[in-house]
Amino acid sequence: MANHLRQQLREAVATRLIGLTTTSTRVFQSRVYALESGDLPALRVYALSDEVQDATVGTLIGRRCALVIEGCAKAAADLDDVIDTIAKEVEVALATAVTVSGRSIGVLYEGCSIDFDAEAAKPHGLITMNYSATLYHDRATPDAL
Amino acid sequence: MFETLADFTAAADFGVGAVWSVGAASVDGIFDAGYQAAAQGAFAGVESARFTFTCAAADVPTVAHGQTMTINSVAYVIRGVHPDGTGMVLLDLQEP
Repeated sequence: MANHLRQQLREAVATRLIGLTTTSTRVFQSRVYALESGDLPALRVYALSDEVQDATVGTLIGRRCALVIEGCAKAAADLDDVIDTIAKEVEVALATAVTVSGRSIGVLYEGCSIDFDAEAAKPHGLITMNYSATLYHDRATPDAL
Repeated sequence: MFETLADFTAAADFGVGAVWSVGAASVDGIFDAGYQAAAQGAFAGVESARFTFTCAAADVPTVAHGQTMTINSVAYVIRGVHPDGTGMVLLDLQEP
């Protein structure tokens, strides 16, 4: 039995984000512990919620999965530029569909928020990018489309 | 009889010796580098530290943002100046 579709989606997105110019291989899924300072710049990928968007025919359901991608960086200067560069690289990488359960699934950008923190050893920045994807599957098979 | 402020910051006791970029002046003060979480997101942040230096305000009369305070051979950039009204001042420091 395959993994839950939400997990498959999260893993597909995280895999797509590995190797970006700024964050390289520093892509963490469902990270709950603090990153080390040396891990930056980095991305954290979460699948935090989903909801059944609409019921269609019979037992087929549309599951709208909300994804959160956090980009973290620190810099003594031009931190905003670093954060925006991370955002650009993520948006470009996710502009094309990822593969989930053998099918191409579009991951839609829904906006972002940005925070800066000046109290740490160096200024830190955090961009939270919101994405979603809708997966249609039979309610008896949440692991396959 | 009152103690002098220097008694609280002496390098011989709790303080450390620092070099202020203005005139390469030697200043004794209390250097703190406590844990500080940064970039806190939905669940996780980033491990970091908050660097501060507390000294007698009279020892750094023209202190300003952008100057440096060299402590243990590290030239920290002064990013915040917080006088406490009693003659002491806390400086927020940024890692170079």
